[in-house]
Amino acid sequence: MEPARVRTDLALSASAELIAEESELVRRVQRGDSAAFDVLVRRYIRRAFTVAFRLLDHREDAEDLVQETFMILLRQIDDFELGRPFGPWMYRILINRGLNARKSRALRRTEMLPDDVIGADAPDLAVERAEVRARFRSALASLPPKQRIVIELIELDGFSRAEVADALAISDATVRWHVHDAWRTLRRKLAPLVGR
Amino acid sequence: MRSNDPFRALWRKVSGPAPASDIALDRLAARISMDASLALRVHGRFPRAALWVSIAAVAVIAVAIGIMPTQRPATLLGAISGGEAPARTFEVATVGPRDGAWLIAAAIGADR
Repeated sequence: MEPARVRTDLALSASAELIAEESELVRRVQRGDSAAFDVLVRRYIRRAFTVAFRLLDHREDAEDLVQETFMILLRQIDDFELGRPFGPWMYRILINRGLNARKSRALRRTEMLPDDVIGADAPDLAVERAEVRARFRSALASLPPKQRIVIELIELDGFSRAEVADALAISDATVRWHVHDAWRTLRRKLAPLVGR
Repeated sequence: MRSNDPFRALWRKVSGPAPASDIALDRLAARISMDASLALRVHGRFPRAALWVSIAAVAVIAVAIGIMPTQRPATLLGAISGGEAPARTFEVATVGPRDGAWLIAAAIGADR
């Protein structure tokens, strides 16, 4: 068998196993087992927080969004279709609520990433980096909200196009178009930065 | 877009990961699990069927209150003819006997 084919088959079987395991966990939650819910929370919390932070640019708001999302999942757990993957269902609720929260916020509070997260630089480099980051932020802010989250999830957080399509309930072609259009806008706005 | 694209490299360089330490995420997960555990306990004690039964009971009570015969509001005519309307009776008492005929006529007009 060709290596690529083997990889695909392995990925599919791993994903089938994951779906079966998560369906079992959801079934246990439906019967009132809080330990099973804890397993799901701990499995997804890092990625959920990352997505929430990308959406809201604020640590506490992102934490609140993650907590709210998991509580909604719990309230709707009886409606979960067993045999379907848990992740996309969770991301869909998280992203929709995050986009709404961002829209309803009159004044966007943003939180700059602390330097220890990015890595310490010499003062002049740090200033330059802050300037570049600010230019990126401003260019990203000019994108439509959905387009922005698509490109951030794919380029920064390692989501696949299929995962993003699932989470946003849009087609793969639409995701591809968002990525293409977002890069075109970013290139236009940030052209002076490259090659400095 | 190619993986060695200078835009992508620059963006990744300045973006960095979301600022969440393992400890912070662990704390958040513990908070969510605690809330979930409480919610599941309440859900266990008060399952969905019971919820629907109580909603139905409240609806039945609301309809029953809605169709119960209500007391007619007091009228000026009622007050003059000895009905129960203390405020309006007081109004009648402050009008002199000379104005009685006009008052009764006005009351009949108003009530109709």
